[in-house]
Amino acid sequence: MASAGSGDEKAAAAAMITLISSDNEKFEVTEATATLSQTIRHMIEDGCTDGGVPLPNVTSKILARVIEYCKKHATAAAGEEGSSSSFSDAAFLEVDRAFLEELEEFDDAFLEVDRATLFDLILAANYLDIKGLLNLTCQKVADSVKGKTPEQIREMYNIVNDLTPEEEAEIRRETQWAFE
Amino acid sequence: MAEGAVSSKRAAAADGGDRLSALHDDLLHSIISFLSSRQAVQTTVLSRRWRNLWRSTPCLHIDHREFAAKSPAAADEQAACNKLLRFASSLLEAHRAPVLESFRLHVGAQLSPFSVNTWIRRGIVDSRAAALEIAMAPTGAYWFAPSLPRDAAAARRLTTMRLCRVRLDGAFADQLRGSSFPVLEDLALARCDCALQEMSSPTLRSLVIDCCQRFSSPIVSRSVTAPRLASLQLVFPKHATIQEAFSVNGGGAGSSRFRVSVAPSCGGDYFCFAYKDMPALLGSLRNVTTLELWRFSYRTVRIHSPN
Repeated sequence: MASAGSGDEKAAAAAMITLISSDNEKFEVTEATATLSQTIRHMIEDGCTDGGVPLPNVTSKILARVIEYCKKHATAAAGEEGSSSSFSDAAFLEVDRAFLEELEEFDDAFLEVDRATLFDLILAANYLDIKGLLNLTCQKVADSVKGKTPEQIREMYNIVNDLTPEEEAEIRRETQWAFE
Repeated sequence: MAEGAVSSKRAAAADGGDRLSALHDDLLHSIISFLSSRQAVQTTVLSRRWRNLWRSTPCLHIDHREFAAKSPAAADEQAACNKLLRFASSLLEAHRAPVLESFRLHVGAQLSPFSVNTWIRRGIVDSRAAALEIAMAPTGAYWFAPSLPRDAAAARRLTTMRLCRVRLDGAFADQLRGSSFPVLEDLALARCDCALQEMSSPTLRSLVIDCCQRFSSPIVSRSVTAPRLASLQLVFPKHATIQEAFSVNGGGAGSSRFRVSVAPSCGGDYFCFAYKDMPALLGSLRNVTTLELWRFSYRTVRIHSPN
Protein backbone atom coordinates (compact mmCIF):
# COMPACT_ATOMS: atom_id res chain seq x y z
CA MET A 1 0.00 0.00 0.00
CA ALA A 2 2.98 2.35 0.43
CA SER A 3 3.65 4.78 -2.39
CA ALA A 4 6.36 3.80 -4.81
CA GLY A 5 9.66 4.35 -2.98
CA SER A 6 9.37 8.07 -2.37
CA GLY A 7 11.50 7.98 0.76
CA ASP A 8 9.30 10.47 2.61
CA GLU A 9 10.09 10.88 6.28
CA LYS A 10 6.37 10.50 6.95
CA ALA A 11 5.12 6.96 6.99
CA ALA A 12 2.78 6.03 4.15
CA ALA A 13 0.00 5.36 6.65
CA ALA A 14 0.00 9.00 7.71
CA ALA A 15 -0.01 10.44 4.19
CA MET A 16 -3.29 12.24 3.53
CA ILE A 17 -4.78 13.12 0.17
CA THR A 18 -7.42 15.79 -0.44
CA LEU A 19 -10.14 14.91 -2.92
CA ILE A 20 -12.27 17.73 -4.33
CA SER A 21 -15.76 16.96 -5.63
CA SER A 22 -17.43 18.65 -8.62
CA ASP A 23 -19.32 20.95 -6.20
CA ASN A 24 -16.04 21.93 -4.57
CA GLU A 25 -16.32 19.98 -1.35
CA LYS A 26 -13.02 18.75 0.10
CA PHE A 27 -12.48 15.26 1.53
CA GLU A 28 -9.34 14.26 3.43
CA VAL A 29 -8.53 10.58 3.08
CA THR A 30 -5.53 8.38 3.77
CA GLU A 31 -3.40 7.36 0.87
CA ALA A 32 -4.34 3.72 1.49
CA THR A 33 -8.01 4.61 1.04
CA ALA A 34 -7.43 6.84 -1.99
CA THR A 35 -5.27 4.36 -3.85
CA LEU A 36 -8.08 1.86 -4.14
CA SER A 37 -8.77 4.14 -7.09
CA GLN A 38 -6.27 3.34 -9.82
CA THR A 39 -6.89 6.78 -11.30
CA ILE A 40 -5.81 8.48 -8.06
CA ARG A 41 -2.97 5.98 -7.57
CA HIS A 42 -1.51 7.06 -10.91
CA MET A 43 -1.88 10.74 -9.96
CA ILE A 44 0.00 10.09 -6.71
CA GLU A 45 2.71 8.22 -8.58
CA ASP A 46 3.03 11.13 -10.98
CA GLY A 47 3.27 13.51 -8.01
CA CYS A 48 0.32 15.66 -9.05
CA THR A 49 -1.78 15.59 -5.90
CA ASP A 50 -0.46 18.73 -4.20
CA GLY A 51 -3.30 21.12 -3.52
CA GLY A 52 -5.85 18.34 -3.80
CA VAL A 53 -7.21 16.08 -6.50
CA PRO A 54 -10.09 17.65 -8.42
CA LEU A 55 -12.73 15.13 -9.46
CA PRO A 56 -14.99 17.13 -11.78
CA ASN A 57 -17.13 14.10 -12.63
CA VAL A 58 -18.12 13.20 -9.08
CA THR A 59 -20.54 15.08 -6.84
CA SER A 60 -19.92 15.39 -3.09
CA LYS A 61 -22.88 13.12 -2.39
CA ILE A 62 -21.44 10.31 -4.49
CA LEU A 63 -17.84 10.94 -3.49
CA ALA A 64 -18.79 10.56 0.17
CA ARG A 65 -20.28 7.14 -0.61
CA VAL A 66 -17.28 6.10 -2.69
CA ILE A 67 -14.92 7.06 0.14
CA GLU A 68 -17.03 5.08 2.59
CA TYR A 69 -16.57 2.04 0.37
CA CYS A 70 -12.84 2.60 -0.08
CA LYS A 71 -12.22 3.04 3.65
CA LYS A 72 -13.86 -0.27 4.47
CA HIS A 73 -12.15 -2.15 1.67
CA ALA A 74 -8.76 -0.58 2.26
CA THR A 75 -8.88 -1.90 5.83
CA ALA A 76 -9.83 -5.31 4.52
CA ALA A 77 -7.15 -5.20 1.83
CA ALA A 78 -4.45 -4.44 4.39
CA GLY A 79 -4.96 -7.88 5.89
CA GLU A 80 -5.83 -9.71 2.73
CA GLU A 81 -3.63 -8.89 -0.20
CA GLY A 82 -4.24 -10.19 -3.67
CA SER A 83 -6.53 -13.19 -4.17
CA SER A 84 -8.83 -11.28 -6.50
CA SER A 85 -11.16 -13.65 -8.19
CA SER A 86 -12.89 -13.53 -11.53
CA PHE A 87 -15.78 -15.47 -10.12
CA SER A 88 -18.57 -14.45 -7.86
CA ASP A 89 -19.10 -17.95 -6.52
CA ALA A 90 -18.46 -17.31 -2.84
CA ALA A 91 -19.55 -20.84 -1.97
CA PHE A 92 -16.35 -22.04 -3.54
CA LEU A 93 -14.23 -21.33 -0.51
CA GLU A 94 -15.05 -22.21 3.01
CA VAL A 95 -11.93 -20.92 4.65
CA ASP A 96 -12.36 -17.21 4.21
CA ARG A 97 -16.08 -17.24 4.79
CA ALA A 98 -16.09 -15.52 8.16
CA PHE A 99 -13.84 -12.78 6.89
CA LEU A 100 -15.83 -12.35 3.71
CA GLU A 101 -19.17 -12.41 5.46
CA GLU A 102 -18.50 -9.18 7.29
CA LEU A 103 -17.39 -7.48 4.12
CA GLU A 104 -20.41 -8.84 2.27
CA GLU A 105 -22.73 -7.46 4.92
CA PHE A 106 -21.13 -4.08 4.47
CA ASP A 107 -21.46 -4.32 0.69
CA ASP A 108 -25.12 -5.35 0.89
CA ALA A 109 -25.94 -2.43 3.15
CA PHE A 110 -23.86 -0.13 0.95
CA LEU A 111 -25.93 -1.09 -2.09
CA GLU A 112 -29.23 -0.15 -0.45
CA VAL A 113 -29.55 2.93 -2.63
CA ASP A 114 -32.03 4.22 -5.18
CA ARG A 115 -31.44 3.47 -8.82
CA ALA A 116 -30.17 6.94 -9.72
CA THR A 117 -27.49 6.69 -7.02
CA LEU A 118 -26.57 3.21 -8.22
CA PHE A 119 -25.89 4.53 -11.73
CA ASP A 120 -23.94 7.48 -10.30
CA LEU A 121 -21.82 4.99 -8.34
CA ILE A 122 -21.19 2.91 -11.47
CA LEU A 123 -20.01 5.99 -13.36
CA ALA A 124 -17.86 7.16 -10.44
CA ALA A 125 -16.32 3.69 -9.97
CA ASN A 126 -15.55 3.59 -13.66
CA TYR A 127 -14.05 7.08 -13.75
CA LEU A 128 -11.99 6.49 -10.61
CA ASP A 129 -11.13 2.96 -11.76
CA ILE A 130 -12.11 1.13 -8.57
CA LYS A 131 -12.52 -2.43 -9.76
CA GLY A 132 -14.20 -3.83 -6.67
CA LEU A 133 -16.82 -1.09 -6.54
CA LEU A 134 -17.45 -1.33 -10.26
CA ASN A 135 -18.01 -5.09 -10.04
CA LEU A 136 -20.22 -4.68 -7.01
CA THR A 137 -22.48 -2.07 -8.60
CA CYS A 138 -22.62 -3.79 -11.99
CA GLN A 139 -23.53 -7.04 -10.29
CA LYS A 140 -26.30 -5.25 -8.42
CA VAL A 141 -27.82 -4.18 -11.74
CA ALA A 142 -27.37 -7.69 -13.18
CA ASP A 143 -29.00 -9.27 -10.13
CA SER A 144 -31.97 -6.96 -10.47
CA VAL A 145 -32.75 -8.29 -13.96
CA LYS A 146 -32.06 -11.96 -13.24
CA GLY A 147 -35.07 -14.14 -13.97
CA LYS A 148 -36.97 -11.20 -15.48
CA THR A 149 -38.55 -11.22 -18.92
CA PRO A 150 -37.44 -8.63 -21.49
CA GLU A 151 -40.75 -6.81 -20.94
CA GLN A 152 -40.15 -6.62 -17.19
CA ILE A 153 -36.59 -5.36 -17.71
CA ARG A 154 -37.79 -2.64 -20.09
CA GLU A 155 -40.28 -1.49 -17.52
CA MET A 156 -37.81 -1.54 -14.61
CA TYR A 157 -35.21 0.56 -16.40
CA ASN A 158 -37.44 2.69 -18.67
CA ILE A 159 -35.99 1.11 -21.78
CA VAL A 160 -37.96 2.27 -24.80
CA ASN A 161 -38.35 -0.54 -27.28
CA ASP A 162 -37.49 1.07 -30.60
CA LEU A 163 -37.66 -2.19 -32.54
CA THR A 164 -40.60 -2.61 -34.89
CA PRO A 165 -42.77 -5.63 -34.10
CA GLU A 166 -41.41 -7.26 -37.28
CA GLU A 167 -37.81 -6.66 -36.21
CA GLU A 168 -38.46 -7.99 -32.75
CA ALA A 169 -40.13 -11.09 -34.15
CA GLU A 170 -37.16 -11.69 -36.42
CA ILE A 171 -34.62 -11.30 -33.59
CA ARG A 172 -36.60 -13.71 -31.45
CA ARG A 173 -36.60 -16.20 -34.31
CA GLU A 174 -32.84 -15.89 -34.71
CA THR A 175 -32.24 -16.43 -31.00
CA GLN A 176 -35.10 -18.83 -30.33
CA TRP A 177 -32.60 -21.26 -28.74
CA ALA A 178 -32.20 -18.84 -25.83
CA PHE A 179 -35.92 -18.35 -25.23
CA GLU A 180 -37.26 -21.94 -25.38
CA MET B 1 -49.80 1.05 -28.45
CA ALA B 2 -49.17 4.76 -29.05
CA GLU B 3 -50.63 5.58 -25.66
CA GLY B 4 -48.38 2.99 -24.01
CA ALA B 5 -45.32 4.52 -25.67
CA VAL B 6 -46.26 8.00 -24.47
CA SER B 7 -46.84 6.89 -20.89
CA SER B 8 -43.59 4.91 -20.76
CA LYS B 9 -41.73 7.94 -22.10
CA ARG B 10 -43.30 10.08 -19.42
CA ALA B 11 -42.30 7.56 -16.76
CA ALA B 12 -38.78 7.55 -18.18
CA ALA B 13 -38.55 11.32 -17.98
CA ALA B 14 -39.80 11.33 -14.41
CA ASP B 15 -37.20 8.79 -13.37
CA GLY B 16 -34.27 10.35 -15.18
CA GLY B 17 -34.72 8.37 -18.40
CA ASP B 18 -33.09 5.14 -19.47
CA ARG B 19 -29.83 5.45 -17.62
CA LEU B 20 -29.03 1.78 -18.14
CA SER B 21 -28.94 1.94 -21.94
CA ALA B 22 -27.04 5.24 -21.69
CA LEU B 23 -24.01 3.49 -20.17
CA HIS B 24 -21.23 2.91 -22.64
CA ASP B 25 -20.60 -0.54 -24.08
CA ASP B 26 -17.82 -1.54 -21.66
CA LEU B 27 -20.05 -0.96 -18.66
CA LEU B 28 -22.97 -2.80 -20.23
CA HIS B 29 -20.59 -5.67 -20.98
CA SER B 30 -19.59 -5.70 -17.31
CA ILE B 31 -23.23 -5.90 -16.28
CA ILE B 32 -24.07 -8.59 -18.84
CA SER B 33 -21.06 -10.63 -17.73
CA PHE B 34 -22.81 -11.21 -14.38
CA LEU B 35 -25.74 -12.87 -16.14
CA SER B 36 -25.90 -16.44 -17.32
CA SER B 37 -25.42 -16.61 -21.06
CA ARG B 38 -29.05 -17.57 -21.57
CA GLN B 39 -30.20 -14.35 -19.95
CA ALA B 40 -27.46 -12.39 -21.63
CA VAL B 41 -28.74 -13.48 -25.03
CA GLN B 42 -32.30 -12.59 -24.06
CA THR B 43 -31.29 -8.93 -23.67
CA THR B 44 -31.06 -8.87 -27.46
CA VAL B 45 -34.77 -7.96 -27.77
CA LEU B 46 -34.77 -5.10 -25.26
CA SER B 47 -34.14 -2.44 -27.89
CA ARG B 48 -31.89 -1.63 -30.83
CA ARG B 49 -29.15 -0.54 -28.42
CA TRP B 50 -29.07 -4.02 -26.88
CA ARG B 51 -29.33 -6.06 -30.03
CA ASN B 52 -25.67 -7.12 -30.32
CA LEU B 53 -24.25 -6.30 -26.89
CA TRP B 54 -24.35 -9.91 -25.70
CA ARG B 55 -22.34 -11.05 -28.71
CA SER B 56 -19.36 -8.90 -27.75
CA THR B 57 -19.49 -9.53 -23.98
CA PRO B 58 -16.23 -11.33 -23.20
CA CYS B 59 -17.79 -13.79 -20.75
CA LEU B 60 -19.78 -16.96 -21.27
CA HIS B 61 -21.65 -18.89 -18.64
CA ILE B 62 -23.48 -22.03 -19.69
CA ASP B 63 -25.62 -23.28 -16.83
CA HIS B 64 -27.54 -26.54 -17.10
CA ARG B 65 -29.87 -25.50 -14.27
CA GLU B 66 -31.64 -23.20 -16.71
CA PHE B 67 -32.60 -26.21 -18.78
CA ALA B 68 -34.14 -28.37 -16.09
CA ALA B 69 -36.43 -31.19 -17.17
CA LYS B 70 -40.15 -30.70 -16.49
CA SER B 71 -40.26 -34.10 -14.81
CA PRO B 72 -37.80 -36.92 -14.09
CA ALA B 73 -39.36 -38.93 -16.92
CA ALA B 74 -36.76 -40.08 -19.44
CA ALA B 75 -38.44 -38.25 -22.33
CA ASP B 76 -38.43 -34.93 -20.43
CA GLU B 77 -34.81 -35.40 -19.37
CA GLN B 78 -33.87 -36.00 -22.99
CA ALA B 79 -35.81 -32.96 -24.17
CA ALA B 80 -34.08 -30.76 -21.58
CA CYS B 81 -30.70 -32.14 -22.55
CA ASN B 82 -31.37 -31.45 -26.22
CA LYS B 83 -32.34 -27.87 -25.41
CA LEU B 84 -29.10 -27.36 -23.54
CA LEU B 85 -27.07 -28.84 -26.38
CA ARG B 86 -28.86 -26.67 -28.93
CA PHE B 87 -28.37 -23.62 -26.72
CA ALA B 88 -24.65 -24.20 -26.21
CA SER B 89 -23.85 -24.86 -29.84
CA SER B 90 -25.92 -21.88 -31.05
CA LEU B 91 -24.34 -19.65 -28.40
CA LEU B 92 -20.78 -20.61 -29.27
CA GLU B 93 -21.59 -20.22 -32.96
CA ALA B 94 -23.15 -16.76 -32.66
CA HIS B 95 -20.90 -15.25 -29.99
CA ARG B 96 -18.41 -12.77 -31.41
CA ALA B 97 -16.04 -11.57 -28.67
CA PRO B 98 -12.47 -12.04 -29.94
CA VAL B 99 -11.25 -13.27 -26.53
CA LEU B 100 -12.98 -14.39 -23.36
CA GLU B 101 -12.24 -13.07 -19.90
CA SER B 102 -14.17 -15.89 -18.32
CA PHE B 103 -15.72 -19.13 -19.47
CA ARG B 104 -17.93 -20.94 -17.00
CA LEU B 105 -19.60 -24.29 -17.44
CA HIS B 106 -22.08 -25.60 -14.92
CA VAL B 107 -23.14 -28.94 -16.27
CA GLY B 108 -25.01 -32.03 -15.19
CA ALA B 109 -24.46 -35.72 -15.72
CA GLN B 110 -26.86 -35.92 -18.65
CA LEU B 111 -24.24 -34.62 -21.06
CA SER B 112 -21.62 -36.61 -22.87
CA PRO B 113 -18.00 -35.86 -21.95
CA PHE B 114 -17.48 -35.31 -25.66
CA SER B 115 -19.88 -32.34 -25.72
CA VAL B 116 -18.39 -30.74 -22.64
CA ASN B 117 -14.85 -31.22 -23.88
CA THR B 118 -15.81 -29.66 -27.22
CA TRP B 119 -17.05 -26.56 -25.38
CA ILE B 120 -13.89 -26.39 -23.26
CA ARG B 121 -11.81 -26.52 -26.42
CA ARG B 122 -13.87 -23.76 -27.91
CA GLY B 123 -13.47 -21.61 -24.80
CA ILE B 124 -9.76 -22.10 -24.26
CA VAL B 125 -8.28 -22.77 -27.67
CA ASP B 126 -10.53 -20.67 -29.90
CA SER B 127 -11.46 -17.87 -27.52
CA ARG B 128 -8.32 -17.88 -25.34
CA ALA B 129 -10.23 -17.65 -22.07
CA ALA B 130 -8.38 -16.00 -19.20
CA ALA B 131 -10.46 -17.81 -16.60
CA LEU B 132 -12.06 -21.23 -16.81
CA GLU B 133 -14.56 -22.67 -14.40
CA ILE B 134 -16.03 -26.15 -14.70
CA ALA B 135 -18.53 -27.17 -12.06
CA MET B 136 -20.34 -30.48 -12.23
CA ALA B 137 -23.76 -30.99 -10.65
CA PRO B 138 -23.69 -32.77 -7.26
CA THR B 139 -25.57 -35.78 -8.59
CA GLY B 140 -23.50 -38.09 -10.70
CA ALA B 141 -20.35 -36.16 -9.92
CA TYR B 142 -16.81 -37.31 -10.62
CA TRP B 143 -17.64 -38.98 -13.90
CA PHE B 144 -16.12 -36.22 -15.92
CA ALA B 145 -12.41 -35.82 -16.49
CA PRO B 146 -11.95 -32.58 -18.43
CA SER B 147 -9.75 -32.79 -21.45
CA LEU B 148 -7.66 -29.65 -21.18
CA PRO B 149 -5.42 -28.53 -24.01
CA ARG B 150 -1.82 -29.73 -23.81
CA ASP B 151 -0.34 -27.15 -26.07
CA ALA B 152 1.01 -24.10 -24.23
CA ALA B 153 -0.08 -21.79 -27.06
CA ALA B 154 -3.70 -22.82 -26.51
CA ALA B 155 -3.76 -21.74 -22.86
CA ARG B 156 -1.55 -18.70 -23.23
CA ARG B 157 -4.07 -16.39 -21.55
CA LEU B 158 -5.37 -18.84 -18.95
CA THR B 159 -4.52 -17.39 -15.53
CA THR B 160 -7.37 -18.77 -13.44
CA MET B 161 -8.91 -22.20 -13.26
CA ARG B 162 -11.65 -23.45 -10.93
CA LEU B 163 -12.74 -27.05 -11.09
CA CYS B 164 -15.54 -28.48 -9.04
CA ARG B 165 -16.51 -32.17 -8.78
CA VAL B 166 -14.44 -33.34 -11.71
CA ARG B 167 -11.98 -36.20 -11.88
CA LEU B 168 -8.33 -35.30 -12.13
CA ASP B 169 -5.62 -37.83 -12.82
CA GLY B 170 -1.95 -38.08 -13.57
CA ALA B 171 -2.44 -36.46 -16.97
CA PHE B 172 -3.60 -33.28 -15.25
CA ALA B 173 -0.59 -33.39 -12.93
CA ASP B 174 1.67 -33.74 -15.96
CA GLN B 175 0.06 -30.73 -17.61
CA LEU B 176 0.41 -28.69 -14.45
CA ARG B 177 4.04 -29.61 -14.06
CA GLY B 178 4.87 -29.17 -17.71
CA SER B 179 4.28 -26.21 -19.95
CA SER B 180 0.59 -26.66 -20.79
CA PHE B 181 -0.49 -23.71 -18.65
CA PRO B 182 2.24 -21.11 -19.07
CA VAL B 183 0.53 -18.31 -17.12
CA LEU B 184 -1.75 -20.17 -14.70
CA GLU B 185 -1.58 -18.39 -11.32
CA ASP B 186 -4.81 -19.18 -9.56
CA LEU B 187 -6.09 -22.75 -9.24
CA ALA B 188 -9.02 -23.88 -7.12
CA LEU B 189 -10.11 -27.48 -6.84
CA ALA B 190 -13.31 -28.12 -4.94
CA ARG B 191 -14.73 -31.54 -4.16
CA CYS B 192 -12.68 -33.08 -6.93
CA ASP B 193 -11.61 -36.67 -7.23
CA CYS B 194 -7.89 -36.04 -7.27
CA ALA B 195 -6.07 -39.16 -8.27
CA LEU B 196 -2.82 -37.21 -8.10
CA GLN B 197 0.10 -37.93 -5.86
CA GLU B 198 2.02 -34.87 -6.64
CA MET B 199 0.96 -31.45 -7.73
CA SER B 200 3.70 -29.21 -8.86
CA SER B 201 3.58 -26.03 -10.85
CA PRO B 202 6.21 -23.46 -11.76
CA THR B 203 3.62 -20.67 -12.14
CA LEU B 204 0.92 -21.02 -9.45
CA ARG B 205 0.58 -18.18 -6.93
CA SER B 206 -2.67 -19.22 -5.30
CA LEU B 207 -3.98 -22.73 -4.74
CA VAL B 208 -7.16 -23.91 -3.08
CA ILE B 209 -7.80 -27.57 -2.39
CA ASP B 210 -11.27 -27.79 -0.92
CA CYS B 211 -12.55 -31.19 0.20
CA CYS B 212 -10.87 -33.12 -2.56
CA GLN B 213 -10.58 -36.83 -2.08
CA ARG B 214 -9.13 -39.68 -3.90
CA PHE B 215 -11.94 -42.05 -4.70
CA SER B 216 -10.40 -44.27 -7.27
CA SER B 217 -7.52 -45.88 -5.43
CA PRO B 218 -5.66 -45.69 -2.13
CA ILE B 219 -3.33 -42.83 -1.49
CA VAL B 220 0.33 -43.20 -0.87
CA SER B 221 1.16 -39.63 -0.01
CA ARG B 222 0.35 -36.27 -1.48
CA SER B 223 2.48 -33.26 -2.01
CA VAL B 224 2.23 -29.79 -3.41
CA THR B 225 5.32 -28.13 -4.84
CA ALA B 226 5.03 -24.62 -6.23
CA PRO B 227 7.95 -22.22 -5.80
CA ARG B 228 5.92 -19.08 -6.56
CA LEU B 229 3.01 -19.97 -4.28
CA ALA B 230 1.93 -17.10 -2.04
CA SER B 231 -1.33 -18.55 -0.78
CA LEU B 232 -2.51 -22.08 -0.14
CA GLN B 233 -5.90 -22.93 1.31
CA LEU B 234 -6.61 -26.49 2.33
CA VAL B 235 -10.02 -27.64 3.43
CA PHE B 236 -10.06 -31.25 4.54
CA PRO B 237 -13.10 -33.47 4.09
CA LYS B 238 -15.11 -34.12 7.20
CA HIS B 239 -13.82 -37.58 7.82
CA ALA B 240 -10.32 -37.04 6.60
CA THR B 241 -7.76 -39.50 7.78
CA ILE B 242 -4.04 -39.35 7.93
CA GLN B 243 -4.12 -40.64 4.39
CA GLU B 244 -5.32 -37.28 3.18
CA ALA B 245 -2.17 -35.65 4.47
CA PHE B 246 -0.29 -33.14 2.42
CA SER B 247 3.32 -32.15 2.22
CA VAL B 248 3.74 -28.61 1.04
CA ASN B 249 6.78 -27.10 -0.59
CA GLY B 250 6.05 -23.56 -1.60
CA GLY B 251 7.29 -20.05 -1.28
CA GLY B 252 11.03 -19.91 -1.23
CA ALA B 253 12.87 -18.06 -3.92
CA GLY B 254 9.83 -17.19 -6.00
CA SER B 255 7.69 -15.42 -3.40
CA SER B 256 8.52 -13.58 -0.21
CA ARG B 257 5.21 -14.21 1.55
CA PHE B 258 3.57 -17.58 1.77
CA ARG B 259 0.32 -17.89 3.64
CA VAL B 260 -1.26 -21.26 4.35
CA SER B 261 -4.80 -21.66 5.69
CA VAL B 262 -6.03 -25.02 6.85
CA ALA B 263 -9.54 -25.92 7.90
CA PRO B 264 -11.71 -28.97 8.21
CA SER B 265 -14.89 -28.81 6.16
CA CYS B 266 -17.52 -26.97 8.18
CA GLY B 267 -20.63 -28.87 7.10
CA GLY B 268 -22.43 -27.39 10.11
CA ASP B 269 -20.15 -28.95 12.70
CA TYR B 270 -17.21 -27.56 14.53
CA PHE B 271 -14.30 -29.38 16.05
CA CYS B 272 -14.36 -32.35 13.77
CA PHE B 273 -10.62 -32.33 14.22
CA ALA B 274 -8.57 -32.15 17.30
CA TYR B 275 -5.66 -29.78 17.20
CA LYS B 276 -3.27 -32.67 17.73
CA ASP B 277 -4.29 -34.12 14.36
CA MET B 278 -2.80 -31.14 12.60
CA PRO B 279 0.74 -32.36 12.22
CA ALA B 280 -0.59 -35.58 10.75
CA LEU B 281 -2.76 -33.80 8.21
CA LEU B 282 0.01 -31.57 7.13
CA GLY B 283 2.96 -33.78 6.49
CA SER B 284 5.43 -30.96 6.26
CA LEU B 285 5.36 -27.30 5.49
CA ARG B 286 8.34 -25.53 4.04
CA ASN B 287 8.95 -21.82 3.61
CA VAL B 288 5.60 -20.90 5.16
CA THR B 289 5.45 -17.36 6.62
CA THR B 290 1.86 -17.42 7.92
CA LEU B 291 -0.11 -20.43 8.98
CA GLU B 292 -3.80 -20.14 9.83
CA LEU B 293 -5.77 -22.96 11.36
CA TRP B 294 -9.53 -22.62 11.20
CA ARG B 295 -12.13 -24.40 13.26
CA PHE B 296 -9.58 -26.46 15.09
CA SER B 297 -10.53 -24.56 18.19
CA TYR B 298 -12.92 -21.82 19.24
CA ARG B 299 -11.02 -19.34 17.21
CA THR B 300 -8.66 -19.29 14.36
CA VAL B 301 -5.10 -19.96 15.28
CA ARG B 302 -2.66 -17.81 13.41
CA ILE B 303 1.02 -18.56 13.52
CA HIS B 304 3.59 -16.26 12.00
CA SER B 305 7.05 -17.51 11.38
CA PRO B 306 9.96 -15.19 10.73
CA ASN B 307 10.94 -17.72 8.06
